[in-house]
Amino acid sequence: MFSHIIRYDWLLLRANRTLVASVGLLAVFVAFALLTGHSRIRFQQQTIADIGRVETGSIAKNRALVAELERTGKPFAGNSHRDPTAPYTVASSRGNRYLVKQPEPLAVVSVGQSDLQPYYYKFAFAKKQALYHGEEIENASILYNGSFDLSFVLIYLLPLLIIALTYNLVSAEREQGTLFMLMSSTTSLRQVIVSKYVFRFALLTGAFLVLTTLGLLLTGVSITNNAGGILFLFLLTAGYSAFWFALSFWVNSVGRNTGFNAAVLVGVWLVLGLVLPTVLNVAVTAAHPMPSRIDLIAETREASDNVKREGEKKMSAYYGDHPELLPKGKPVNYKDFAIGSVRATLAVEAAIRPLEDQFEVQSRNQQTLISTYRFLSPMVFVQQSLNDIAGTGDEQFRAFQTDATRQHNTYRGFFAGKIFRQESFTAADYGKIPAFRYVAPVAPLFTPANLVNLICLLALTSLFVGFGLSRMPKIRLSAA
Amino acid sequence: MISHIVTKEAAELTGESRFRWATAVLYALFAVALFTGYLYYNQTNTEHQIAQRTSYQQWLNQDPKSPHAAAHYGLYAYKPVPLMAVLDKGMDDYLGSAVWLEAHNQNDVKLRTIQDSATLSRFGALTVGFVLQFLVPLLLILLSFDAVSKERESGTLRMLLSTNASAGQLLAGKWLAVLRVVGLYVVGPMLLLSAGAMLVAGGSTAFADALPNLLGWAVFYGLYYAFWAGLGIAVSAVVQQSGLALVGLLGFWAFGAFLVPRLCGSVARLSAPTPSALAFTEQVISDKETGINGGPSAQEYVKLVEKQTLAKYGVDSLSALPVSFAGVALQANEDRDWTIYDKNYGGLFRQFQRQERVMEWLSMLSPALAMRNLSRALAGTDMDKHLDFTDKAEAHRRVIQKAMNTDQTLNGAKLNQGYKAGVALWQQVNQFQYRQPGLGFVLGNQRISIVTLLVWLAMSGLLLRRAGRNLRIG
Repeated sequence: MFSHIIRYDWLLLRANRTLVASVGLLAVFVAFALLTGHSRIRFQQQTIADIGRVETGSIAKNRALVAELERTGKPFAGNSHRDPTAPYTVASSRGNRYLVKQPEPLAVVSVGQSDLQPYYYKFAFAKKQALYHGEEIENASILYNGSFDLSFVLIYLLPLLIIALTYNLVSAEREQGTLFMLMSSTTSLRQVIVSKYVFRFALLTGAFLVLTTLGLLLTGVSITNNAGGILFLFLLTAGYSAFWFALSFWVNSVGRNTGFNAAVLVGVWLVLGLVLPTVLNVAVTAAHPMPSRIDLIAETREASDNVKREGEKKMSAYYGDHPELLPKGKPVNYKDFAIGSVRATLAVEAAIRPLEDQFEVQSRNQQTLISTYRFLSPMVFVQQSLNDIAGTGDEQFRAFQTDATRQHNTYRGFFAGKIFRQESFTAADYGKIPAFRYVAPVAPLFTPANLVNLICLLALTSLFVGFGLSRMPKIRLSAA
Repeated sequence: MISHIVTKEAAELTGESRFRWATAVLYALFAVALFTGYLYYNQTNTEHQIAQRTSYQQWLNQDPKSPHAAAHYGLYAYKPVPLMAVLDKGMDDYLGSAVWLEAHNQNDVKLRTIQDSATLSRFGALTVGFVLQFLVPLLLILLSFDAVSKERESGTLRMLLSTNASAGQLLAGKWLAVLRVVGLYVVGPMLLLSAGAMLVAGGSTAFADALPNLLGWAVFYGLYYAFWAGLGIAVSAVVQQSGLALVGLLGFWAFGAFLVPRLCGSVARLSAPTPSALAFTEQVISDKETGINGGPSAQEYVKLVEKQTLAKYGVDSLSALPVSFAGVALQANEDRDWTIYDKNYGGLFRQFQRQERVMEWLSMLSPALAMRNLSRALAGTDMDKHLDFTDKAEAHRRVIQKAMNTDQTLNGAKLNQGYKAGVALWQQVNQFQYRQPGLGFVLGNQRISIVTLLVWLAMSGLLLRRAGRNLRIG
C-alpha cells in the first residue's frame, strides 16, 4: 500500500511541478552557498600563505641587513626608530611573527563568526590591546546582512521549502473535494497522509544530503578524513528536517483550512527564527552586560600617564628586583626609549587586567545563559552545532584568542631580556626568533551538548508526530 | 461611497480575533524594542560624551613635552549616538565608534560592539525599526490576504458588486480601511510613543533637531505600508484561493526580508572583493618605504626636503635655519603620508562603495530592504554617516598634526628635539565636535532606496487598479 501511495504522490508532485521547483531551488541554494563558502575559505588560505611569505621575507631581509652591517663593522646610519639592530625595533616592525588559525576542513558548512573574529594575529612588542584591535577588513554592511552559507540554507530556507511542500496536504484535499474519497477508502486517512509525509521527507532530505556531499567533494573536502563531522552534519540535517515535517504534520492534522496552516507554520518559523533569538539576546545582554571598551581605552590612557609620571624612580626599583636584566658592562640608560616603552606597556597591562578579565567573565556568563535557554528555538542550537562542525563558533575563536595572548607573551619574553640589558640584536639572533603555531584543540563533535541537541530534535519530532497521529482520525469532512 | 466602504471594512477588521492577537504581539515586541532602544541611547550617548570630554582633558593635561610627543599621545574621537538610534540602531553595532587620532597613522574606527557579542546576536537586533520594517508588513498581509477572496468564498462578493460601488471603489475602500486600522491602532500610537521616548531621552533641543528626520521617517513608512496593503488586497483579488494568496504574500515577504539581504552581501563580496588587513597594511608600509606613483622613497624624500628647506631660507646648513628643521621634516613626512593614506584608504572606500552599489541594485528586489536602508539612513546609523564621521575625524587629525608641526617649526628652531611646548599649544587644538549631516545628505545618498519604494508602490497601485477592472465573482 505504501508503494502505491508513493507512486501516485510522485505523479502528483511531478504534475504540479512543486517537487521540481523545490528540489531545483534547493540545488541552486546549496550550490550558491557552497560557492560563496569556498571562495571565502580560499581567500583565508591565500591570506595565510601571504602571511608566511611576509613573515619569513621580513626576517630574512633584516637579517641580511644586519649581517652586512656586522661585516663592514659600521653602525646603523638611519633613523634610530628604524634600526634593525635595536631589539625593540625588531620586535615592533622588523621581526614580527604571526599566529594563524587555519580554516577547519568543514569550514564551508558555516561562516559562523569567522567573518567577524580575527583568524590571525600579528605579534609585535606593542600593547597587548593591539591584539584585540586586530580586525579583518570587511564591509560592515556585508557583515550586517550576514552570509549566504550552507547553515543559512539549512536553518532558514529548508524549512520554508518543507512548508511549501506540505502546508496543504490535508487542507487541499478538503478544498478540492477529494477528502471524502480518501476517508472512505480502505486505507485510513492517517496512513495516506503519513506515507505522503515520509515520502516527501525522504525526497527533500535525501536531495539536500546528496547535494551537500557532491558540493563538499567538489570543493575538495576529503570525505574519509572527515567522516565524523559529515556524519554529524547528516544526523543534524535529518533531525532538523524531520522536526519541520513533523510540525507540519501536526498542524495539518488539526484539520483547519490552508490559510490557517500557512499562517501557523510561517508564524512558528518566524517566532523560532527571528523573534525568540532576538528576545533571548535582549535578555542575555541585559542579564550580563559586557563592560565598555571605551572605559578600557580611558583606563589604559590613565594607566599609561601614571606610569610615565613615575618614570625613573620605578625603573631603578625594577632593575633592583630583576638584577639579571642589568646591562652587562655599561650603566643603565634610564632615558632609553625602548626600555621606557616596555616598562610602560607591561605596567599598563597589569593595571587594566582586572577590567579586561571582566570581559572574559561576562562573555562566559552570557554563553552559559545562552546554553541553558537555547532549547527555546531549534534554530539557535542547530546554528551552534553547525558552527562546531565548521570550527567557526564562539568557543573556537575564544580558544584561539586565549592561545594568542599566551604565545604573544612568549614572543615578548624573547625580546624583553635583550631590551632591558640594552644589548644589540645580531644576525644570529634573527635566526633564533621563535616561530609560533596554533593547534586547534581537537574537539570531539559528539559532545554532550551536541548530542542533547540531536535528542531534543528527535524528541520534538516524536512529540509532534504523536499529536498528529492522535488528531488525524478526528478530522471532519467540513472545515473546522 | 468609498468612505462608507472604509468605515464598514475597518469595523470588520477591528472585530476580528486575528487582528487583536497579532496587534497584541506586535505591541509586546514594540515595548521591548522601544525600552531597549531608549536604554541603549542613554547609556551609549552618555558614555561617548564623557569619553570625548575625558580624552580632551587628558590632551590638555599633558605635561610639557615636544609637540611631536604630544602628537603621538594624540586624541580619541568618539562618534556621537544620534537621537533616532532609540528607534533604529541600524548598523552601529557593526561600525566602530572610537578612532585614535595619532601622529603618522590613519587608524581605523574601532570598537565594533558586535565583536564582543555571541553568535546569538547575529540573528538580528530587536529595535523599533525592525518591528516597523519587518513585522508590521506581516500584520498588513494578515489583514489583507483574504480581503477579497473571503468575500468570494463566502458568496458575499456577488452582493457587494451588485451595489452602487464599482469593483475599483470596493478595492480602494478595502485598501484604505486596512491602512486606517493599522495606522490608527498600531503604527500611529507606536510613532507617538517613539517620539515621546526620543523627547525624554534627548531633551527638547535634540528632539527638535531630529524632528525633520523623524517626520521623513513617518512619511516613508506611510508609503511603505501603502505598498504592502495594496499588494495584499490586489493579490487577494487576483488569486482565487485565500490560502494560496497568503502563501504567495508570505513567500514574497520571506524572500525580501531573508533571502535578498544575504544574497546581496554574498554577491557584493564575490563581485568586488576587498583586500585582507594584512595585504592592506603591507601595501601602506611598502608605499611609505618606496613612495607612490614613482615618487621618492622615504630616504630620498628626507634628503629632498632638506635641500628644499635650505634653498627656501637661503642657508647652507641646517643649524643656520631660522626655523626648526625637525618641525619642517615632520610636517613634510605627514604630507607625504597623507597622500599615501588617501591612496590606500581611498581605494578601499571606493571598493566598499562598489559593493554598496551592487547591494543597492539587488535590494531593488525587496521593498523591505529599501525601507530598512532608508530607515537607518534617516536615523543616522548607516554606512554613509559613518564614512562622513571617518572623514571628519581624519580631517581633525590632520589639523592636530599641522598645529603641532607648525609650532615645532616656528618655535623650536634653536632647541630642535629638545623644545618643549605646554598647555598653551594644547589649547590651540579644539575639542572634536561632530555634527550630523542634514536631511539633504541622507536623501541624496538614498536615491535608489527611495526610487525602489516608489516603484513598488506604483506597481502595487497598478496591480490594484487592474484587479479592480477584472474582478470576477467566481
